[in-house]
Amino acid sequence: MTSLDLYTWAGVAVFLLALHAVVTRAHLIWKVLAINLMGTGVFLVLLAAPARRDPLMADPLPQGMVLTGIVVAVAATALALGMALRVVARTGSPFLTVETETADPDPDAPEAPS
Amino acid sequence: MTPSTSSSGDNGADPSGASSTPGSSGTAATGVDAADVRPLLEDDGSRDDPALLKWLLGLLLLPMGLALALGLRGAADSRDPRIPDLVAEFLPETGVSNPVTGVLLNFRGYDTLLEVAVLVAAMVAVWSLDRGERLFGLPRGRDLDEPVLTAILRLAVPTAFLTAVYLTWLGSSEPAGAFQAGALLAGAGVLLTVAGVLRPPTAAALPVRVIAAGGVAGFVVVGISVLPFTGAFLAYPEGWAYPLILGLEAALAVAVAVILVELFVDVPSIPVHDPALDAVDPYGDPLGRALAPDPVPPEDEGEAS
Amino acid sequence: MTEPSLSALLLDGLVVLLLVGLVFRLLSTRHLFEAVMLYVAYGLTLALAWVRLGAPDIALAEAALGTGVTGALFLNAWHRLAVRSGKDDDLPMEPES
Repeated sequence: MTSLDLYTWAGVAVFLLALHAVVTRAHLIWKVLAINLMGTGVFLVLLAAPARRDPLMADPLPQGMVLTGIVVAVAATALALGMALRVVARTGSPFLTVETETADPDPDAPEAPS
Repeated sequence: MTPSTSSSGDNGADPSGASSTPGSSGTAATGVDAADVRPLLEDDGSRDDPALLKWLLGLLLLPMGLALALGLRGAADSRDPRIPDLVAEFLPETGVSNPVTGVLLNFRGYDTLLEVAVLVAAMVAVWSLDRGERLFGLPRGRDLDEPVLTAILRLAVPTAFLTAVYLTWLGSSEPAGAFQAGALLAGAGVLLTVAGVLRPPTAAALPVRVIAAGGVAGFVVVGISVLPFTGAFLAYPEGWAYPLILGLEAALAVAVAVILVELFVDVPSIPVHDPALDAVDPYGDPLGRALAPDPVPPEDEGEAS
Repeated sequence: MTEPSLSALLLDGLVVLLLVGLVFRLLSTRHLFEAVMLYVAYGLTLALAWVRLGAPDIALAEAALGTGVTGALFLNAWHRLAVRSGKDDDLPMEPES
């Protein structure tokens, strides 16, 4: 077990924890946070897992890919946050709800669980 | 691995009633619902799926995690990489000595071009989310009542500018480069925006568009102009690699900085039409003041449901 | 990096524990403000991890982007929600008593 293995496992753990949270947390901002964290988990695996020529220095190609990935993830997070805030502006609730919220809800309809 | 509520002990002390009325946010869509005030900021898990599903998902993900962890174990020593040798062999031809910069701006320059294009696309998408008359409602720097922020500005912003220029130039030989410099500039831009010194322009203002497009345009122009010399898009001719890369890095840094600050500024506001709330928050929400209010949602939701 | 030095392993183990612990807490907490603050802390720890992995370019970018820009974005979103929810006190989140 080397340090690289540790970081690979960290990347896997972060990715799976965040994946679980994306599905589980109902709050939109948490979902966006979790997607961002999934991205960082992937970056950790991308840099820690590959075979490297120099044990102390990561290869330049994965570094370039992760750098590009970080910048794109920032932009995607900004867009996702904008959409989440837009949802809050329109519906007044930051939670992803299944039923549409109308002005006069049907009194006979069963209460949806989420 | 279950992110269930971890602070369930403070339900008694929580005055917001967030856990008591989870379903009440639906009745008045954009009005301020009294029982719905706090839950925007806190998620007590009452809206989540049942705990059984959470555990089930965790159980599903666990073998996946184990498989990945065991499968990737020792992967770093398992084979002989060829690509770093190739990169090291052709690095002198790129005109730079930092291999990451060589990869980003020469070997994989096309990826960088597309990356800036993606940034521009994200910025345009954020513009499309809201009306675009965006002001933070903060006064100009000299009227600002925040001495700490102003003092930090005076120290941080010039340093950030200088460091960004240095990083852009340094990227060819040391770990540094256009993206790091652009990120630093974006941070300085965010500080300036929050302090009100940099009055955020209304979205889609011309200088913003020109600079953001300039990043992509610079790449495309360079790529096309080298076509008659080397016959390939974005293939730098002999001896021209270093100056071209430097110019592209400069354009990249500025474009990335402007795009990131614009992304930060254009996060959509949440219109607040309640005058009582406006009185409470001194910053207010500028979007609701001088402009027509949002179209009434019940009509939209009547169509959507 | 692949030398099995004990001190290096210990240091990396601590960084990894910090990373995973921060992520777990931030994904399971109830307060959005706490989540945002932990995300900034996670970004900085990740920058340290990049240095340990031998990727200084990415460490610089992560420190600037992950904390400076994405952190600011999340904090901005939190503030929008705070304004919208009529939060008028100075406490960013309810104290856990």
